[in-house]
Amino acid sequence: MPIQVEHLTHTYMPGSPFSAVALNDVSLTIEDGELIGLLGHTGSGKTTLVQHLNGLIKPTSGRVVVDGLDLTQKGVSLLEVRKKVGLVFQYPEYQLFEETVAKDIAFGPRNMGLDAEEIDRRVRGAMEQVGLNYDDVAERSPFELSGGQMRRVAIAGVLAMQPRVLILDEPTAGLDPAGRNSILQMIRDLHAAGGLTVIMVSHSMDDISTLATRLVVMSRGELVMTGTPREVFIQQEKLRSIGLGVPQAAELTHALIAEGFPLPEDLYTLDEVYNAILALKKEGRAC
Amino acid sequence: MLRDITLGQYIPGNTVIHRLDPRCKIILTILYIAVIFCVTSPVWYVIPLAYLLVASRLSGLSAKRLLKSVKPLRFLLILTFILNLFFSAGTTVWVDWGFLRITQEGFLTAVHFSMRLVFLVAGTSLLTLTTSPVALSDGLEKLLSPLKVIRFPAHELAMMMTIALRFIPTLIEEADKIMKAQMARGADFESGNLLKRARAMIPLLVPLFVSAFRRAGDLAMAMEARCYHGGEGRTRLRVLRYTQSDLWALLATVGTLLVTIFAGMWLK
Amino acid sequence: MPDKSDFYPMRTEDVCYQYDEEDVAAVDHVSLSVTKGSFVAVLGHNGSGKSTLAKLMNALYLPTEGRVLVCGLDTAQDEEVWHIRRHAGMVFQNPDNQIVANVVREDVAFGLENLGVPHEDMIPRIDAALAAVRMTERASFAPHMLSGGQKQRVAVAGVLAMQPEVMILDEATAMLDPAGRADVLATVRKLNREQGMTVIWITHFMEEAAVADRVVVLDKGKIALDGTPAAVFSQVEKVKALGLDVPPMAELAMRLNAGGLRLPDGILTVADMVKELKKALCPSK
Repeated sequence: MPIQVEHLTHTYMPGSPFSAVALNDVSLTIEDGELIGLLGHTGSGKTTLVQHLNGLIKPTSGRVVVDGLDLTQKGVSLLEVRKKVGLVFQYPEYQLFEETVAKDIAFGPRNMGLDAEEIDRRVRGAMEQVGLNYDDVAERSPFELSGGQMRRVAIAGVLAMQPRVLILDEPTAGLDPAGRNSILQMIRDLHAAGGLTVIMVSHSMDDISTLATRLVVMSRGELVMTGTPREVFIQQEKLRSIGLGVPQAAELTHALIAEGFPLPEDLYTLDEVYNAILALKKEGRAC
Repeated sequence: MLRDITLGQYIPGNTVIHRLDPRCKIILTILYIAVIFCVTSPVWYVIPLAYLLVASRLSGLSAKRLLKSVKPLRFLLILTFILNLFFSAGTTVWVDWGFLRITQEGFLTAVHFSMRLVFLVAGTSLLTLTTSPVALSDGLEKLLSPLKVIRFPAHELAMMMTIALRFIPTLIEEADKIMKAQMARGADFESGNLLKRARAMIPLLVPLFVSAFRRAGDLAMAMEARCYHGGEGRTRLRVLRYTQSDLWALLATVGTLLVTIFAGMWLK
Repeated sequence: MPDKSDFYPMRTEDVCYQYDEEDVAAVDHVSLSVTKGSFVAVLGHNGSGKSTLAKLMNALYLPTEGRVLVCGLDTAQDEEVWHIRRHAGMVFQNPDNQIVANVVREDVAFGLENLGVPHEDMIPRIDAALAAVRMTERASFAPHMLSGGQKQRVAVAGVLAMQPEVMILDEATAMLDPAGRADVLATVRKLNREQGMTVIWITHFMEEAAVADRVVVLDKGKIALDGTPAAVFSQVEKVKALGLDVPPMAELAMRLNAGGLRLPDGILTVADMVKELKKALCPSK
């Protein structure tokens, strides 16, 4: 179920003194099974872009086609689109509202008009996917849980709609290192289980470098780079010019090469740099 | 974006009217309302009309802008007119459909009450258009502060107004976000009958209230950490000072009121 | 003997705090003396007790055991509470929930108004505070028109105008994007360097703690590690076991040493690593 974004432009409050171009002629194709890291500064248009992918915002011009369904056409069922493309907002725990965790997760499936048995099956399935124990938490109030658990409940609420594409807008914002790592691991597992295309919006190069199969970099409403992490992180100057950093391993590689060490220039993980430096030492080629 | 919507109707400016002390402007508005209620016959609306035209000229706001503020009340206005037109007692019958009668007296009353409403709204909106909400709450606090002797919470009231103004844009933005998040989970806020729509608001209202309470708790703690302990012993960054223009404006308005009262006595 | 409080504007002595509904203490016998003019990072994962400790530091919470001394004043003394809060200024996590007024300038004035500072004295203090956080140009903005980092800088200015002895920032960057985080940290670090402001910087971001003079790591309400960033982060395994990140370069150094290199302790940045690798791999250069 590929997603095609064609010449997408979005202007907020067109014609008013506050008019602002949030997206400018963005074209992008996302294939099945990709894990996309969508990077960019605050205000680069990342959030506006992902909200177009399930029809929450309408393009000013251009098209968004999801699974052959053109979202800009009149009469397109938005519920159909939202079943296919699940969107988890930033700080999603702030949207919980039901009396129990199970009821909250069931909200999406209920809106889809599923029967009680199917809803229950999906609630259990989604809780398992996010690593919440049904017997322990299903009947508790979501407001009694810890911040990290609440976030999992909110993610489960979207997964229960069984989307084919899962979009997460800064899923690790505000979490401490342990919380962040466990959410990242959860995303890795969800993707590895197969059948799910994942788009993760992030400011963090380190979070995304070990996770994504492809990076999409945005700046000032435009798509400026796309490619594998290796292809993107090698362009350090360009990333810096739009105010983004690179993982420290890539930065170190760059600095060592500048000092004359014969290293391959496309290293970006600590493992790779570790191996390359030890190899230099073993072969005595450092100087 | 919702965050860019300006709050209230305040239009910043630096005219004589903008510079008047907010306390004075509140008093002027009260006097103006008195003027309107002293008008006894539709003809004498020429007095508040002249007053408003002079004030709007001085404030740099067009009369059209003032009339625009009446627009949200157009249904109330039409209702007032119709009710008075058909249901006032009168002897000079113009139209008689049996169950409905239009009389000359009814027509005049309808015009009178409609005009009263238009002038009320147009005049008070001149206050909110030329005075920032902050200045307004400051002015109100100062005017009401003599009432503190009878334990009237003047400072608390003004602080509540300030905080409400501060948080309205934040909460609007938040409501927009929660609404989108629930729509992404298939929520439908737009279709169905009244009951269904009201029920559909629950997923929006519950998180919004939870968040508002959390914010209130955080804010209370932040205020305490910055030594807030009520109005006692508090000084203010903004100091309100009456100037000569305030005196002239007051005299002019009191004059207008007197003229209206005499006009009413002269033409019964 | 000079007064200890001159040298340590913030001291906790065996301080404990237990929430009513909990069985274990959130802060458990913490003794910490913060040197005047220093920048101390308090690092810990969620639930380690770091925010509770912050709230004990300006009498928002009172210790269930032990004492907290702000400039020598015991926070348990009721009548000193406004002095204590003036001297120990606090910036909180959520940028939206700590700005009171609807204009930047008036928010900076809020603390001064509460202290009863005369109108004429307020203006230069507000101007200086706004200049120190580079917000002079936005003095008449409404808060909701500012970015998260700018809002936090306004909050810093609001505290600064009160001329405190210590500034406590309780996870002030947790909700910001990387640019906002770097911006707020740089602003406060500069205040510390140029005006000698004593700073207690509470965070779970290792990168932020790495620029401090001293890092105190909290775990289960107790001090688990205490020392310079180099000394603390060299203990890679221990820091990780406490649920925290270590600087990637510290981790790489540890692994390279296990792999046969001889790099010294205390490598935290890419620049450190480049320098030491040059020495280790090319001794002749």
